Amino acid sequence: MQTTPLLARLNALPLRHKLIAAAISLAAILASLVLTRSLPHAYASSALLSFDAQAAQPGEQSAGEPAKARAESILSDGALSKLANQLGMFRADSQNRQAAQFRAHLTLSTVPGSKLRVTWRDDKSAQAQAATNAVANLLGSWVPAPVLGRNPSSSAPSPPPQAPKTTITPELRQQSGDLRGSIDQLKARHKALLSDEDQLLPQLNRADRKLVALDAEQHRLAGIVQQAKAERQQQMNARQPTETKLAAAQKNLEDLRARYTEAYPDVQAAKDQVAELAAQLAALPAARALPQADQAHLDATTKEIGDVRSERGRLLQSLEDDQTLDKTLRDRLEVLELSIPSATPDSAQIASPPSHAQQEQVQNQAAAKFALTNFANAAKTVPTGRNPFQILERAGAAQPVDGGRLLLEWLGIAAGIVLGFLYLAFALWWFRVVQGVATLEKFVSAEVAYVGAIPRMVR
Amino acid sequence: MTTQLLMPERRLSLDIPTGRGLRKVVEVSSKKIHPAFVFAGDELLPAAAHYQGVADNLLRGDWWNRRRVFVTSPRDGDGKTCTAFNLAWALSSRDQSVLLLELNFARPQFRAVLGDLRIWHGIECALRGSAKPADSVFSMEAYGLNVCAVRDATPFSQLKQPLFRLSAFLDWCSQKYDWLVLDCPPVLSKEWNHWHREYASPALMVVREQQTTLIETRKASKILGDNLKGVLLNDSVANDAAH
Repeated sequence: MQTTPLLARLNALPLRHKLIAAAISLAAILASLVLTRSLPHAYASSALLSFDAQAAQPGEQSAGEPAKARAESILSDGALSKLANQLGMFRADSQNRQAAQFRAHLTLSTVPGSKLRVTWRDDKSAQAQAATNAVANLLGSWVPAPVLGRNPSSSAPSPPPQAPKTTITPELRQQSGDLRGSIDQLKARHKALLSDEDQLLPQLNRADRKLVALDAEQHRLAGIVQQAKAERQQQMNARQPTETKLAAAQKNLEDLRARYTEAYPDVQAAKDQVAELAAQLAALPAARALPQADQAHLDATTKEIGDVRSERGRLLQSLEDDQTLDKTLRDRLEVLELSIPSATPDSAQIASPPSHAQQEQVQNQAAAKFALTNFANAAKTVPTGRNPFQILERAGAAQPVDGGRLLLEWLGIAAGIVLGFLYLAFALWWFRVVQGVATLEKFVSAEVAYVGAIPRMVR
Repeated sequence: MTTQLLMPERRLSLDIPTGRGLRKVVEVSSKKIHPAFVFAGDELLPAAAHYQGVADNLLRGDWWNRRRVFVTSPRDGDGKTCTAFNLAWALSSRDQSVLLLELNFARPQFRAVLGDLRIWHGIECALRGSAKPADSVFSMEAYGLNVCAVRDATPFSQLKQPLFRLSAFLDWCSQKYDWLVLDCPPVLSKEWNHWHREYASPALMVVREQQTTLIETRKASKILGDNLKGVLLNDSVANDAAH
């Protein structure tokens, strides 16, 4: 039996079945697109921080990812709960639950080159950006609390000598009093600074959120204005050929009127043509005016974005200044705390022999002098007093992360195409074509005469 | 097409009535005529021999006793018009007077395949009574073939009254000509379903190989019922003529 080429059979298939196959494909594709579009969107926003590897503690270094280990230790339940409250997230939950929810959205990943990437996934674009920046700010502004009486590491240069429990001369007592006064002043200043930072962080987060919202509004308005311009151009393009024809017809009419009277047939024909073209032009939609209100709103939004950006820059500068000052104050406080000798009651003076007392006095004086004159140098040698994180890149507008959705869409498209082809295959089977007399005999009554065949002519 | 290009151009004379007993001879170039018509090219082509064979088969059978052949097919594009023309030519070449009638009022093709031929009166004019039956028939002198074509396409909704007179018109044609070959509309067109069942007897169904579907063929043969007397396989790839 001779097989019919598939293309010829497809050609012979009634058009309505081809249309049905196309409709099935289209419907399946549209349904899958609608379904996948109705799923909630996922956005991710990330910030990049540098990590000072030298600041890592021995336990963190052995963990393999010191930056991540340090960041996780900083982002305690309390810190995350406070952050969530500032951002207005998960308010109904308890502190632990709030922190757990917060962590579920947060991803910390180490990037080669001693860097840490903070990523936040959320179904709201603005919230993702704000939360990422809030976490980055928290890590970037974190300074470890000073550890009083802590022994400096062995690698540190000549630590101040440890003051033994012994007699204190009046001169040393005076110096100790001065130091305590300085510490109190520094603590008061530090407290004010922390309060200032606490105010700056929410302001910065608010500015970030506002910036995201304004960016989205600007994008929306720009789209509207762009579309309106395109529509206007399209309408003008549609009218242009008719307008050109009308101008030519009017000129022709003027020329004819100059030569002939109104009753002349050519003049009448030209008038009819002008009237017809004018009617055609009137039937076309008039060019739409540009949306002035949207344009003005767009300009205003652009200006407001500039203002918010400058305000955000100012806040960032203030925060960085505060962080620098905070670090300096902590260093000073730590050094001063270390430099205060352990005081013992004056009555204990009797117990010590004079020669030994003189030696200790010299040692204490040397320690106090070292502390007062070299506190800056000493601060560098204390590893726990430094902030290891520095913000390299703040989170920009959150990007959609819809890999799964894209896959679903493609699967839906493929399924639609396959369904269409399946229908076509069924239709091809159902609409088998005549292939010679043998097939005809099965479908036509035996009483019908076969009068012959006309061969295909090669044309 | 190749065949047509190789053939020398010939002029075919058509004697066309213009009304009130007057006639006009119009010459048509063979190049303007559809190349599938054997009389437009070389009558010695293999296709011509096959049509002669079909005519022999028709003459041999006794079911064509009314000497009418309603040429039809399940749907458009199966080769009804071409078959009707060539079959009429094959019958006329046996010294028999043949009238070829076009009944596909909605999609007439005779004038187009004869090179946009201009006629004064069509079959629809005769059926409406606006022209005499004889004025709607033009003849191809060289072949003794007479043709009654549709002048203007007419939708089925406007044909109820004229179709009423078709039977009387065909009787008049039968008195004047030995054979009537009628090019009918496709069987599966909704409007003509009933007409085929009632009037198209005896019917010859044309089926185009590798194009007409089996399911349509079965449907058409069911509609035609006992009226269907013969089947012709058109555009056959294998030579089934000897079947």
